[in-house]
Amino acid sequence: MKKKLPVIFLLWIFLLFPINGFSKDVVIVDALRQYQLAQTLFEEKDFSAAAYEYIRFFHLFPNHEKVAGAKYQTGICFFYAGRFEDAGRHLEKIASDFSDSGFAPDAMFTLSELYVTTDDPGKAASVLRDLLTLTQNTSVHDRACFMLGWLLLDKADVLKSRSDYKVYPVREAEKYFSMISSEGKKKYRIEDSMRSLEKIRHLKKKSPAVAGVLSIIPGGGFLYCGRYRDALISFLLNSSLILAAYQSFENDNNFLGGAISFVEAGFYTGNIYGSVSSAHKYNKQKQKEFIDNLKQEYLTNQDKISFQTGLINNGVALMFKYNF
Amino acid sequence: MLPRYNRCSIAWGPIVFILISASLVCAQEKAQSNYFPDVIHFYQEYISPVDGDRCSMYPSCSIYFEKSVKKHGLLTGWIMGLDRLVRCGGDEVKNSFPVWIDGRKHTYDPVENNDFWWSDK
Repeated sequence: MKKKLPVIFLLWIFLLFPINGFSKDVVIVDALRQYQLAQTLFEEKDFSAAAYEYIRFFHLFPNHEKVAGAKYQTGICFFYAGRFEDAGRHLEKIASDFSDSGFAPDAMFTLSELYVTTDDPGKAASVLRDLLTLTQNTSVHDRACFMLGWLLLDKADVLKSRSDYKVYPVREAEKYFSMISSEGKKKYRIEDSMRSLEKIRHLKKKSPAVAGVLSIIPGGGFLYCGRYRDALISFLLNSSLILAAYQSFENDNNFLGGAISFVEAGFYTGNIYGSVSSAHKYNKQKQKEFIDNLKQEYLTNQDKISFQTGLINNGVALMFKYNF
Repeated sequence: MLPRYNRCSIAWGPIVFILISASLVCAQEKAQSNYFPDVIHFYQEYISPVDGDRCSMYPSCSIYFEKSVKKHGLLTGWIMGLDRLVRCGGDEVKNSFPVWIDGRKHTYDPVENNDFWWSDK
């Protein structure tokens, strides 16, 4: 028995040591530390890593009170990391599954910004419109109206040209600005812009129909739209081809005359098409200039609001910043 | 010998017929328009290298022609392409955005900038 004692003692030591050795490597992750890790990565702008840490957080602690915030942050991280599809998926989930939380409106604002970034302003407007119908909060309502109004103005030309957008964007923008509460109008200082926006109806525009009719004389439509060089080229080219065709027929060269006439018919129709198109382009350009000026005026006179996205200390990213 | 006006009407008859048939064909089956770009490819492959890269627009007139035919069919594409030839290097230069390709300034004028007022595509 005495001989066996050292062996038992050694075995006991062996059994103890590994336990002591491993115990130093065991890390107990509590919810707060996991969340802080994700926040730190977010603040260091390592958005992909932060997104995965947020995912780990709500996977490990599904019942924690910060789950909604973590999910929202995941969407934001993917957005900043340029993974728009993943961002959209997470933000949509926040808006639908956590509609009662304070993150749902922010998720919808960010989602609309995401659609603007991915060149889908129609969807962005639709998200903001949904938010308007869902929210009871005046502050969120005003912000949504404000953002929607500017979005419609900013992307008026794109929206107008797309079939999925049936409403005239500028008029709709006016409607949303007018829906902002009187307190909101003061807060966003939108009244001056609304007054200026009324002038858009009095913009001097070119009539596409008049341009088309005037282009019966080749170049006339271009001349009406202020495109003098195009007008001269169109007039000289068309008249030369008409003259060439006429001379060919005169000289009994019917085949050549027919061929020239065929080409000339194309140029002549092209001249009418180009004139009508020029009038539309002129109007589009004038409207864009007006809206750009309006936006510039708004931003320079009241540099309280910036439309840039960015990070703020607590990690919540907004579509725009408002400094009181 | 036919009177002059009769000769003109004889010449215009086939032209109108061609234009109407082309529009009907284009409206019914736009796949037909796939043949036309072959003519443009021939120009791009054999004529343009000899003529030189002189188009000041982006996309170039031949690519614009090809894209408009593919997008809208033979007749409308033909009209849009010829309209572009007239506007190439003209007033569009001061009205549209410039783009720099291989150190050379071009004027950005895609098909979408000229069909936005009627096309949803």
